[in-house]
Amino acid sequence: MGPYETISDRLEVFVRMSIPYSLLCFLFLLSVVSVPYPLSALLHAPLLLIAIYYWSIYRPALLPSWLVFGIGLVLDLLTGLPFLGFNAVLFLLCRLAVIDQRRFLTGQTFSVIWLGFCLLSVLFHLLQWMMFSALSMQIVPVSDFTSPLILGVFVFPLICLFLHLSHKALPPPIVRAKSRLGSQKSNMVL
Amino acid sequence: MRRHISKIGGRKGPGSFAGVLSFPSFGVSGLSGLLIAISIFFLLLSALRPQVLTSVRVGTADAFAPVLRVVSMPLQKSAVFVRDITGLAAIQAENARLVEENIKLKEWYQTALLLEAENKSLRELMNLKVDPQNTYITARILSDSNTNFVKSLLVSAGSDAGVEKGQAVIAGGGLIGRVVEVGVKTSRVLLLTDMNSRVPVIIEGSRQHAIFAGKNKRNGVLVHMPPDSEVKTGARIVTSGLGGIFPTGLPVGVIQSIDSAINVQPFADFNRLMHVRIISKQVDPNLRPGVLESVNP
Repeated sequence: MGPYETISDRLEVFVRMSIPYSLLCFLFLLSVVSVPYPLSALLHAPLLLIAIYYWSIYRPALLPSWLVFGIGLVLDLLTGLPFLGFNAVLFLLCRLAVIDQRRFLTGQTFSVIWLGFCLLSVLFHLLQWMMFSALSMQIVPVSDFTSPLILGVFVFPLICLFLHLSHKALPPPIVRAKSRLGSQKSNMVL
Repeated sequence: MRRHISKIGGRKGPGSFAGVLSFPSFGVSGLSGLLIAISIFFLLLSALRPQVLTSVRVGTADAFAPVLRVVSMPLQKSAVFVRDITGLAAIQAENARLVEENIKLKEWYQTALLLEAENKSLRELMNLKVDPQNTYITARILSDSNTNFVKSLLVSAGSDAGVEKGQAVIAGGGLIGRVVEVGVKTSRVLLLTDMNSRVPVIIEGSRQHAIFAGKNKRNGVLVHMPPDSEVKTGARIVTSGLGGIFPTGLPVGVIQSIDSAINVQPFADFNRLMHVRIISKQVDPNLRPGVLESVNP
């Protein structure tokens, strides 16, 4: 018998799984909604990049590439960016870069994770600046990209705390493993 | 007790070493590669043929409008609350300034009444044709670009409220931009501080024509002016109405400083906007829509 076969178990899994997705949805809405000063200053931080970074390290299956693509695409459409797919391609590249370094980042201390985000954020904003300058065929001032970069680095611990709390609410992952005695697959909750 | 174990699925690249930061190999899985290719296709399409994606953009904004309306309201109220409780000293100072300003404005009000009466009688004497009064559509701001390299707003009024592409938008005492996309329930406003925005203006006093150009900062600059033009700090800038997009005489800003460029500070405070007013295009009674008649051989 599998790990989540009763209705109550499935309901529990559904409720637990909805917590990080609700948080992700909230971060997305914060990234597009209009809020006057002083809260507007905080919302310039790359909140979705923090979420993508966190889940790509600790639970990549929760945020698959198609979902990252969808988030980026809808973000482009709602924020009125003249270039559709701009955030989608950047988010996908960041997800790939983080998953590539997962072996190193998993199990590291928070300060190393934070430093990793700083590096990723620098790369993200540098790439953003290069792409935007190339597509708009003019050199956009670098200062336009530095304030969200700095803000993101400072906001990271706070957002990370909420992401960590939602992570703790998640059910443990199901590891599909081959049985020793045959080729039949079995589900295990570790 | 169940234990959280993260399944390590990192691909071992040629430069990888357990526990040590490996060289990024950026292994692209099939789906990720396909999605990146689709994104790049959209990027190129929106750069080369931007009008193709306008309907998608407008449709998405309309679809998300109810959610954004619900979410933005408590956030806007909480922002105002935070601003109020953290700025008591500023409010006191502002109150004192407003009391003084009110006394001066009362004097100006009396003068304006006199001038209005005088103007009316002079117009009647000269049989002068007066421009029709502007009508407004008030809308709430639902979303903004939240980035420093694009300055635009999504507002809660669309074609069903009579909004049309190209209409001027004002708020907070001055012009803030123009409508660039119109959906059924929402419209997108390109702010005048966006680097792609150009507004034909006139400098009050000298009657010098110029173009107000945004530069993605709080202030904009005046361009396309003759080198010998007389410009003074503190001069008011208003729309000239050239080109027919903006009505004449809308307040834009004030010249803040003159160095290598003429810097203009807009009257509108973009950080505190919650509502905007869209100016309906004036209908010229002397013009009527043309009818294209088919010519039968």
